[in-house]
Amino acid sequence: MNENDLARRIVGRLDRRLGDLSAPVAERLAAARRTAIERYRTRGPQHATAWEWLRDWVTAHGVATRVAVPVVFVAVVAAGVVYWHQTDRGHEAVELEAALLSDELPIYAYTDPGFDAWLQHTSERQR
Amino acid sequence: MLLALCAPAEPAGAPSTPSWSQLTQQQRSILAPLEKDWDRLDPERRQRWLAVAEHYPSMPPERQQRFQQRMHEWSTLSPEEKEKARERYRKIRELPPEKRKELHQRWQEYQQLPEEQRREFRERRNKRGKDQPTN
Repeated sequence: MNENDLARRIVGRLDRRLGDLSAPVAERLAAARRTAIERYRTRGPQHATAWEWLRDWVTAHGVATRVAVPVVFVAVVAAGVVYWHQTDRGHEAVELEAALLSDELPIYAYTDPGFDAWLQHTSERQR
Repeated sequence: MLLALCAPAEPAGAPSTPSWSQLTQQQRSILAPLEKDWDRLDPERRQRWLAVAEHYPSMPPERQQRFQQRMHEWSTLSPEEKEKARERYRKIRELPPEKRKELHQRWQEYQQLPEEQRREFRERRNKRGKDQPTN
């Protein structure tokens, strides 16, 4: 006998014994069931962990959710990478500016177009 | 939310855009050359200066001196000139030390040229820039 057969036999035995219950007991059981259903409707299923909540939610919302969750996860990771990259560039630019302002060459050496042209001119003459 | 995350990053350590009187004593001391202009600077520039000034304490004294001497000059440049300077500095910084030293010598030589000659080179480059836009 496997587990399913055993379960069927237990359910059958319980169903047959159900008819033997006294009216007050049957009424108490029915009242308890109504109360449980009412609580479930007002408070929703109780979950021990966030993971259980997520699992039940995904189960309840079908295939679309099973696709959407990984997509959202990948999008959040991608956004994190972009944010980190931009922050890193921001830090690099600030560090570069501090170094430029305190460099041995004056700022004008980097902005004077004449210096650039003169360097090119003299290097061409040396060839 | 994703758009917010992808927005251009602001330099770290810039929680707000404080007025001059709200700066710490150390920040006021470092940014002293900008005192007169500080409250007229736009918020982005103030945050940038605060971030750049964070590097100041770790600089050797001669660099600190140069930094403060050039702050005002830097703040008068246009965004395009600043970007050009950053781009050139980025390239020059990657040169080997001997090449950088040579460049410093060349700058000294260039400074010895008569102003008239320097102006000619400036005009030549500007004309070329108009004829052939460079990147």
